[in-house]
Amino acid sequence: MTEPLLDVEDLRTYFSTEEGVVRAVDGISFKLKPGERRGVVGESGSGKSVTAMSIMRLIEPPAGEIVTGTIDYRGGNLLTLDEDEMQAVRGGKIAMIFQDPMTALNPVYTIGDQLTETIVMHQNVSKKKARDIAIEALEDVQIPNAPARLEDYPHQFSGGMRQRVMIAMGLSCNPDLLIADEPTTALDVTTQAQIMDLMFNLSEDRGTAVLLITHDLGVVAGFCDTVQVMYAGGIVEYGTVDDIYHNPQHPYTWGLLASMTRLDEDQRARLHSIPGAPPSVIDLPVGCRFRPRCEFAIDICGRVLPAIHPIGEGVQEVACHRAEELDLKSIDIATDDDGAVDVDEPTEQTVEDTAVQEAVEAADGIPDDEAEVTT
Amino acid sequence: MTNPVETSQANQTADLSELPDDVILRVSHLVKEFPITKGVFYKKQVGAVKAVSDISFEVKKGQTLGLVGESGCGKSTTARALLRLLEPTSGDVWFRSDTLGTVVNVATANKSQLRDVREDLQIVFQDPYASLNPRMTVASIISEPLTVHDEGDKKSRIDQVKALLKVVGLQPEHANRYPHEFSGGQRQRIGIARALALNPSFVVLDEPVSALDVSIQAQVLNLLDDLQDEYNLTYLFIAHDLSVVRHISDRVAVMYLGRMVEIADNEQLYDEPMHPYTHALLSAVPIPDPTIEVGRERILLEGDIPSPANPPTGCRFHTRCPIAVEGKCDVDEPQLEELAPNHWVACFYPEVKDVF
Repeated sequence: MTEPLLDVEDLRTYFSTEEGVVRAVDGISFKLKPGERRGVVGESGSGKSVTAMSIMRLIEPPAGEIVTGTIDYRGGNLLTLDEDEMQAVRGGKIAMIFQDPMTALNPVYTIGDQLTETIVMHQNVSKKKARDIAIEALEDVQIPNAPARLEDYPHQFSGGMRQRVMIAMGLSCNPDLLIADEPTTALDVTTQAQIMDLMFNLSEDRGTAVLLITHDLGVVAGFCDTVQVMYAGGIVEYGTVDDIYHNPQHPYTWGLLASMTRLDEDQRARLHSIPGAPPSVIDLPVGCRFRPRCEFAIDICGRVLPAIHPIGEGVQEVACHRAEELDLKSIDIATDDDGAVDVDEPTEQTVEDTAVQEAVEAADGIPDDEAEVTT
Repeated sequence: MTNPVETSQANQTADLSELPDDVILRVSHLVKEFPITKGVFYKKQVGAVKAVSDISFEVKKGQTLGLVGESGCGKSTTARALLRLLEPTSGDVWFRSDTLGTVVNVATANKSQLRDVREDLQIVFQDPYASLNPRMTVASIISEPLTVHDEGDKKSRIDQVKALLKVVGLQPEHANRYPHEFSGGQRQRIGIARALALNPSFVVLDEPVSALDVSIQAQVLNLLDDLQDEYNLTYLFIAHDLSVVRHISDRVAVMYLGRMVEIADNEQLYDEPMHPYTHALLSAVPIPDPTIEVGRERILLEGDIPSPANPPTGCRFHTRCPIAVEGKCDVDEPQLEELAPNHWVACFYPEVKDVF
């Protein structure tokens, strides 16, 4: 058994807002091995980005706070480090790249300034040496004509090139772990293929572990070794990519896969769809958080939050009361016709006609020239 | 099959015989360029962004044409130009209007014709946050087209708003709420209800599910399918996601840098793609299955998409094309040719390739 590189235990990150406490990450635990490529998948609001920001200690009190938990990195708890020590970890040991490379780069400094700054800070080398390392880093991410491009500003790079620069910056100090938060979401699909290919090769060559945060199950399938699926602040399922894609045990994972359109399948029939929308993390349902949308929910699901537990022979884990008895694989989703129409709360036939009428009258008062725009 | 490249040389309101009976829309030689100007007081045009260059296609009644391509390829500009939300630089847009009972050239229609045409021709936008006025209630948003087009009285508008809400899967009591009270998927349903208010025959869907989470995407796609069946709608579905387009379209057109490079029926395009750009595009889309992904070979394109202000000579794709031939592809511009029945490709060296 190899020592884990990262060991997150019962992490809870809450934000206080006017409406109440947002339990963005609510008691998650996971371990990451050196060199492992892990996909963290989930929909918006599932807590996947906050997980990443918690690891990097980028949650600023008083808005947000890590209320409990430990994040052990190579045996030491990151949560007990002071700011200087944490600064050495960020960029040096654990690097992070973001969805939008334009906002992550400073527009008034050249790419060279920004790259060498990181290198000088973490590697204790001269500026000249840092420049050489920077050129090498840009060459590693296949940016042509690297020495000249060091003098360019971020706006002179295309979106894909900027993301390459971010990766170069992230990997310039040879971190053990790269956290990539939706790194290709803002990019076109052919550029995405280039960037994922590049990240895969770099991680393979250097043995860098990657935590890939994404909503795209397609990207994960070809890139990751393992996957954790998050829903409303918790991990609902964990396993190897084969486990998750070929033998999902949680109804949410299963539903998510079934609702995807696939390029390799001619499926003009109706898509399976998960009814409703993810719950508000301010007002989480009692019991299993997926219960309001789950077609397999029974009595206990509404009372007890299921704990994540091992299932089957391998490493797979699932947080579902019914995982052992349900055989999701055998369900024919093609015949499952769940009308998207009844996605909301049950209809209350108490329409306040007067209010509707007022609204329609309000629309009547709109001058024609303004109204024309929307027609 | 009529050649989609051929122009119909008819006057503004051609008689119905100009369009085959089953065709509702024919775009021919559509061009849209945005001028690049210099100078503060004396604006001088120094160039043009050639967003859409000579695009021609047809859409059959009751079908869905998927228009795909990467950012900057001109797909959204095409949609906006054919709706006259942008003034086309040149070209014709022949549309069979139920309201006018005739075929109209939308590109040259006058104001009153345009107003009538828009009862039949509607659009749903990508961003459900930006396309709904935050200060209007859902009822006023949905009834606005009815008001503008003077349809019915107040009482019938109220009934219609309620009916439309139900059609798109919302509740009648949602009518009094404001857009911010809804989730992304619900907002997109509001946008769809507004587009349907005037009973259109043709709806342009500009990236309607791109901003939505996967589980919500499926709901909205199913809704669009149901509405198409129920109201016999024709869709122009614009998207960058080729798997979504495969699910919804009958026919698919691929654009690159303002040009159409390939157009074919759904199965034909996905099973037997012929243009090297289509190959690259399809091979780049990840498939949610690790077994397939591990063995899959990607066609990785070099570099980035060139600027439409200064497109390459010859074939616009030649700078990134893995099979470009020097002296041919960088000199001559390939035109769409029908290489298999209903399958048009603009390439000098087309070949069928399996990309999965």
